[in-house]
Amino acid sequence: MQNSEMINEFLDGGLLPADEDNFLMMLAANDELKSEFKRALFIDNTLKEEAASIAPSTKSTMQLFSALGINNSNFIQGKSFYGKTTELMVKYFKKSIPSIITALIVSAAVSWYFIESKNNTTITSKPANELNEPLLAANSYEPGFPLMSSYQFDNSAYSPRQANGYIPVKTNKIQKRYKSDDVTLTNPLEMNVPVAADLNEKDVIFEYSNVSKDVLNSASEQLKSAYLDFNGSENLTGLKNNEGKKRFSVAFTGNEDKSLKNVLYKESSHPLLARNGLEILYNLNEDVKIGIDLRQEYFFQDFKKYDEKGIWSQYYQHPNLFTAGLVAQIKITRLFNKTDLIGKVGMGYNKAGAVVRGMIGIDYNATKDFGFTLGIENSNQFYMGGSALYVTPKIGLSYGVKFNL
Amino acid sequence: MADLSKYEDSDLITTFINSKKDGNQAFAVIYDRYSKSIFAYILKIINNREQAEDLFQETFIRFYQNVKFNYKGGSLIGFLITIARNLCLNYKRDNKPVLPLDETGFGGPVAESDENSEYKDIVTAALDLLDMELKELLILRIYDGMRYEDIAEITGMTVGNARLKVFRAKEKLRSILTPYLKEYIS
Repeated sequence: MQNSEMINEFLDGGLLPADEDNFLMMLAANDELKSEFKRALFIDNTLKEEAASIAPSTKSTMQLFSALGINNSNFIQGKSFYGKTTELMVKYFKKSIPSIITALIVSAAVSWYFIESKNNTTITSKPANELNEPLLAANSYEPGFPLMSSYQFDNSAYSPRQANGYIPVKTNKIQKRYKSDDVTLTNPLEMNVPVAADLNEKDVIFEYSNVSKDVLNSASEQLKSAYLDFNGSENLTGLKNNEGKKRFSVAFTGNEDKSLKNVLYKESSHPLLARNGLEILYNLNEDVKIGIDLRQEYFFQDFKKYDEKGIWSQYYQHPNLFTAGLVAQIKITRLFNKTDLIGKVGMGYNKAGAVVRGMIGIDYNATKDFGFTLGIENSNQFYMGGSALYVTPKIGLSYGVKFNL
Repeated sequence: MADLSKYEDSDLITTFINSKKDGNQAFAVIYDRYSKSIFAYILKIINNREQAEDLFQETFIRFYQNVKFNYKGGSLIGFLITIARNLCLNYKRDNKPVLPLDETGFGGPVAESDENSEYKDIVTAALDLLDMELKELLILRIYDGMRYEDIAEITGMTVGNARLKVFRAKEKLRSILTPYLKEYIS
């Protein structure tokens, strides 16, 4: 059998196993055969790649179904568009199962620890005349509920002692959620002071007794400003006190993307956490965060270089890489309650080379302790092949569950 | 509505011909399954996208209208390709051939500057330098992924002859391309 015949048979899958072994041994020993085989493989692959890229236009499909009088919303879109979209989503969902499970377990554990356990806390409240210190009037870990402290009254020249007894501050809603047996709740003035109504928060009605109208008005103003000052913080102790503000956020992230350079080449297999990451951010201020981004991810690579035998060769691979990098996040604007539009830029490095990326998305703060991010991310891998520099871009979804520490 | 996407070809044809309720859905599944192959065949034979779209639509219209009268069993893709093939032959008979390459051989415009893409363009263009018979066989085998049995059925050859001619087409293509690819893949 001639070289060309053997190459044809091999590429066509027509060689017997024993003949295949012989052929591979000959290929290893014979440089001329090897070159001929490489050219044949290149031709075969090129034609197959072209074949895979050919498809009729959507317009043509629509015209055909219209000409046949078939309701294309049921079949064309249902089968070709929605069907394929669903298929794609199912495929991505399956791939992201490990990251989803990780995110669910961690968020469930943290939610239980930070939220459920603290919701059982009974409000500390004691008669003010027994104390000469700030009295905690109410505290809540309910998401979005305004936090407050008796310290506001101290700052407004309204001390527990001046109030002739105790600070009768309560919230109706809090009372329903927490037991507070040792506080007497009266409202002789029949005056309700709504606060936070313009903050997209739940209205809370504060009721006061044994307090003059002037003091009450002053107190309500202090409550408003106190809430604004301490939005999102915990363990409030003073109007200007930033203690307890969350400085770090840790996010367990995942990414689902497609290479923009080549979508045909198969990804390398990687058992777990192939698309997962960890992001730790430090809050410079309310709008800007910086930190580190560690992740496993795929990048398609194609490049040319001399192989081990000095033959100029074309390489294709779609490896899974570990990338470590720096990231900066900026809040662009608040979209709606608890949800910000954010942008991220990052630079990193992995075994193949440098990575530059940008992301735009949303940052949802479910509570002050944890939330979620979701965005569209573009990443570019720079790498060397031989002496040439290559770049391969990709685009996709980036998502994560974050915890504020 | 039943999910027909997992049906075998023979079941789809039966449903399409006999079921008023699911007939159109069966056709949609057949279309989804083979439209790419049929279009690739027509486009590579005709070398004109606009005309290829028209012939492609005509192929499926004829299939839709005539399958219950003309289909005698056998490979469904083979039946579709036969319709497309007849339409292409008619088209080529009525239209003058268009030379895809200029006088210098592979001197046509190259869409991308990337060296790899340039060589890929050369390979796909070289297909048009083959005899029509060899080119068609290669298209059926590589672009449509057809078995030699189906190729033989469509072209009226024996299976052995179809296989031999596909190999011959590949060798011819390699011999045309070797001078160009030797610099690139040595």
